[in-house]
Amino acid sequence: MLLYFVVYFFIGVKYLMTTFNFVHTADLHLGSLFSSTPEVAKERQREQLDTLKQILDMCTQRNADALLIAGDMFDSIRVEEDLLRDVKTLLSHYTFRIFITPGNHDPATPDSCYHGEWPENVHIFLGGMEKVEIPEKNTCIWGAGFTKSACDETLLKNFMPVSSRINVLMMHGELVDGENSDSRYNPISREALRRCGADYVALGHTHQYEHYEVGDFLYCYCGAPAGRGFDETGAKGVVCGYASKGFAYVEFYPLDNREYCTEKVDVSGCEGTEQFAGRIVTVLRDRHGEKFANNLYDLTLIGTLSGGVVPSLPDIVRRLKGSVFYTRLTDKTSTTLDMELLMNDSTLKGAFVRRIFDKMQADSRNRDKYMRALLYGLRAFEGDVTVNEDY
Amino acid sequence: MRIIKINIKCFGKLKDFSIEPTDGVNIIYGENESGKSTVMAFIKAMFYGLGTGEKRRQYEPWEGGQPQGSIEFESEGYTYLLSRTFGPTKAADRISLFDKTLGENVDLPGGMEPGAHILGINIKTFVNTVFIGQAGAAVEGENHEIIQKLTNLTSAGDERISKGEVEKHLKNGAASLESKKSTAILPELRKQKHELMESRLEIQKSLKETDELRDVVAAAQKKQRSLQKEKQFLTDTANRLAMQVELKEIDAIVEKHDALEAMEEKYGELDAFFNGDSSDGMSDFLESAVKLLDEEKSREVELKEKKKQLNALKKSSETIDSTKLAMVKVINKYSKEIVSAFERYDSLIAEKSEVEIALENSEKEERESNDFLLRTALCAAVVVGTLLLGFLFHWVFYVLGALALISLLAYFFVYKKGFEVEGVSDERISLNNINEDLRSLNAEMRPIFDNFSVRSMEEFDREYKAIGSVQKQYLDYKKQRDELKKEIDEVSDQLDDIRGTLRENLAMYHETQSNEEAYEIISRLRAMKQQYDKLTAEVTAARETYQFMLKERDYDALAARGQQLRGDINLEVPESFTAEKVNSKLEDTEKKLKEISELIIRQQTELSLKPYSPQDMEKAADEIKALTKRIEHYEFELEAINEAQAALDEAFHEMQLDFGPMINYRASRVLSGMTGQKYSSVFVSDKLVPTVAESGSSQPRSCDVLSAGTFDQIYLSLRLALSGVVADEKLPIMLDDSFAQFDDERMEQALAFIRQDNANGELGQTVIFTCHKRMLRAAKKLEMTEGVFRME
Repeated sequence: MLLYFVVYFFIGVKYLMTTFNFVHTADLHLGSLFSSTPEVAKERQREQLDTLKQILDMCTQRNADALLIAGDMFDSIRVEEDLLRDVKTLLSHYTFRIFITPGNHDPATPDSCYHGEWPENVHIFLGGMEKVEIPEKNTCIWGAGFTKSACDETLLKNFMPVSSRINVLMMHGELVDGENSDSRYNPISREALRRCGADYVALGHTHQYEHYEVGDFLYCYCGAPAGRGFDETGAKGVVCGYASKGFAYVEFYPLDNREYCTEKVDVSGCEGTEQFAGRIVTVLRDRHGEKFANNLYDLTLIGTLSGGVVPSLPDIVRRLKGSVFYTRLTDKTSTTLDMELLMNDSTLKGAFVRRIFDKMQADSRNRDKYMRALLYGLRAFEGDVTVNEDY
Repeated sequence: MRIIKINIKCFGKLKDFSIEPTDGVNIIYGENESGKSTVMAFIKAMFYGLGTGEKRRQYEPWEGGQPQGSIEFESEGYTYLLSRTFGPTKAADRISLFDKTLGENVDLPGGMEPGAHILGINIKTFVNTVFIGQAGAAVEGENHEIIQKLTNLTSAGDERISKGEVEKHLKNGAASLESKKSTAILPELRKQKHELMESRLEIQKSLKETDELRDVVAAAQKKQRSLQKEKQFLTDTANRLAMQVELKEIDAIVEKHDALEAMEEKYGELDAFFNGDSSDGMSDFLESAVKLLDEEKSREVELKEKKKQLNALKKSSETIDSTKLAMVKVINKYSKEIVSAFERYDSLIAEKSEVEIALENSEKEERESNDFLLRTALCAAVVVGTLLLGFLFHWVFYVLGALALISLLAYFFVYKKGFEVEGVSDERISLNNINEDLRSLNAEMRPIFDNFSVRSMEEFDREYKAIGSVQKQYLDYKKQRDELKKEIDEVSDQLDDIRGTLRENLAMYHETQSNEEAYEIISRLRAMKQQYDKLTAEVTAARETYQFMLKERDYDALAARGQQLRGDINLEVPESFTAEKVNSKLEDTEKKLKEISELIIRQQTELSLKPYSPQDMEKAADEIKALTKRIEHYEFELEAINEAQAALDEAFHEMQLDFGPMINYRASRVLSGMTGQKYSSVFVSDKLVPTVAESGSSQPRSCDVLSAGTFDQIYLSLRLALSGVVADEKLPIMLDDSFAQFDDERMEQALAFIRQDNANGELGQTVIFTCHKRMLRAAKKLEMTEGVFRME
């Protein structure tokens, strides 16, 4: 009797101690067009593969049991042959299991590349809820994939966790409150998710890392591993962690990628292109350290400039090319104006300034417009009026 | 404001230059390149800086070092000392403003220039107010430039500000954004946006079609999977059925094999009995015995048949007429008489027959003679009738009558024998004699006839023939009976011989007491032999069948295969599933599968040829968004420019109403004073054309026709008029050879007027820079002793 007890005790302990190590990523959007930064689109596309390799190497370093890719691995249903071949070749170089759920960008439509041949270590969830068992890790990987660009009904149906196993669920979709939702991207009710019985839920779709804990139950969006535009700013990375029966732990690991940054730079007092560029580099170095040069910046120039000084955005961008990977500029500088002096001017210019000032006071909501009108008017007194474009 | 002292430490060519102008009118004389302009530049730089770049380098001291100096000035009751050292950049300038009245430094807020801070005007206003040059100096002989300056002065308050130019700049700016020009930004952007939106619609439509096609393909693939499952099921079923068939065949072979083995076992026993070493010629014996038995049987049959024939013959003999048979004896008794009688009778009959024939021919000839006579008489009647007709009617009838006559004669000669008449024939007499002989014969045969109950030879002849027939019948029967009896005897003998031989032969194997016992034993042996033969045939047939079924395969391998199949067939196939049905269904399913697979390939090819992906849609949306942002940006800028334009118009209108008249009044006063009341007024018309009016004349004159000197007088008038309205306090006036175009008289008048105006407080401190000595002479003439300086 005692022997039985001891044996069962150790079996139970072993069962509870079994963990499933994973790396969770999503929304790689391989093959993106990078239409917002066309000048560096080709290079960024190449770097996406580097990012994937970085993730795969991380799996090896962390001795992960599996890599979970929760949707939108590709940016489109149609994948360039070269890219597809490179991805398959890359994945085939690793021995750990790779699980992929198609997302709204790369659904498993009849003409999807997911229906082709993939390396043996890759499993793709091509439709409704499906289960893959990893007995040696006492784990079931559950997944469901998009078959169209939109999925009005939740894919969470038919998820039936195996009580004796660690159940890891992976899906691409949108978290919603309540059962009814207008979401067209696999609406996943938070409540249903909490009750589903999974030990960990790996989600994809939201490009920002989001982490939710309900008791010991954990689910999270890993976010995109790399930004693709200025609406995806900040550090990007993957989620690494482990799941065991009734418990999961994850941590966000930023990847060494280029960041998209939207920032303002005060260029007050600058006069020539060199000064503008110098000021920008100095400010960016202060903010981002020596890695500043790798990033992509959408910069808004602010501050006040001496009368008649108009920053030449194309020239500044050209000058910055040697120092920063990518820069886009918007001019929101203002000219140093001594309104009192201008208002007291007895000439037509003074009369013009007073008129603008009167209008501004009468219609304060359009202050920006009148300030711009004032600027253009004063420039017209000096010479040609040119309209600066964002660059 | 007034300048108390100018102290230039080094600035351009000037070094350690100092001057203290008076409050009134000062004249600084110097030849060209003496530094007059440098002094004016120094004053400007001290109050508003040197600017950037080339301008800054222009006044670097000739002997090295940094430009520096100071100005002491008074403004609104306070005395200031402004010191400045100019660095290589504006930021490097060191400025010190010391309020001597309060004894403290004045802080300049936010890099503000001292001039702007103390005087409250910007550099341009300062320059336009303080420094006055000459109107025609810049462009000699170009009146329209001068007129423009005058217009600007009176309409905009600054000779360099032209409302038209400003307006043009704004309009150009606006036109670069919105106009019919191909370079205009907004129409091009809107066009691009429109094209992109059209393109997006097309992409949207294409994507919808693509999605629909994908649905169709997905449905087809679902159907394909269903068909594949069905095909798999049918293939499995067909395999199971084939296995069942194979198993059935194998089972049949096994069964046949087992049956053959049993048969061969039994056959072996019989074969050993009949052909084995201990059979002792049994087979040969049995073969001969069987032949004998067959022979016996056939003989028995033959005997039976013959007995049957004999009985039948006997039975048929019962029909022979015994009465007539009894009459044979009578015939035999009277045979001689009968034979003789028949000879006579036959002779008579033959003779009678001949006579009757002859008689018949004679009678026939007689009948023919009678017919000839009748026909001859008839022909003669025709001849006569014809001749009569010829006589009565026509001669033709004579011809016909002649022809009839010729015919009659011919007929007569041919059948003339008919006319031979004969008497009673001999035949009839002979016939009567014969009949008499016959009657006598009958009479002679009467006693014999009575035995046979006949009356004549004729009847007797019939009876005799009938008796003869019966006799012959009897004799035939007797002959046949004897032959049959003889044959029966022969067959019986043969049977005895056969049976004897059989018993004799059987005795070698089995002693028998009787033939019956021997027959029984032989029958049994025969039955055995028959069974053996039958079995031999059956075994041979079974072997052939077995070999046919086996088809040269190995039996053991087949048996093993049968065991394997029995294990493999794990599912029962419903009875309704026949191989034919399943194969037919399988064929049908494969056909459908092929069709749907081809359809899917076609549709997938079609899908791959679809030009757009959702990525294109997103790209278009991004581009539209970016374009929209740019359009909004430019529209905002355009609105701002338009707003500036509106404000400019309003400002100009305001100037026209308020500033213009005031300047006109002041300028008119100065011009009148400077020209000794030659001109009474100067003003700019609504059409922005400067005009002057001579004293006593109400007709204004356009400036187009004035001399350069008069232009300068008007210009100076306007500039002096303006200097009084720019700032709250009166600023010093620096006149840079403003009288160059004046003749001596006008110069004196102007200098006198300025001196007077200064004395009256209308003008502030005035400094006249000149390179003309006549100015010094004029000053001397006007007894201006103070404020005259010479620059070396």
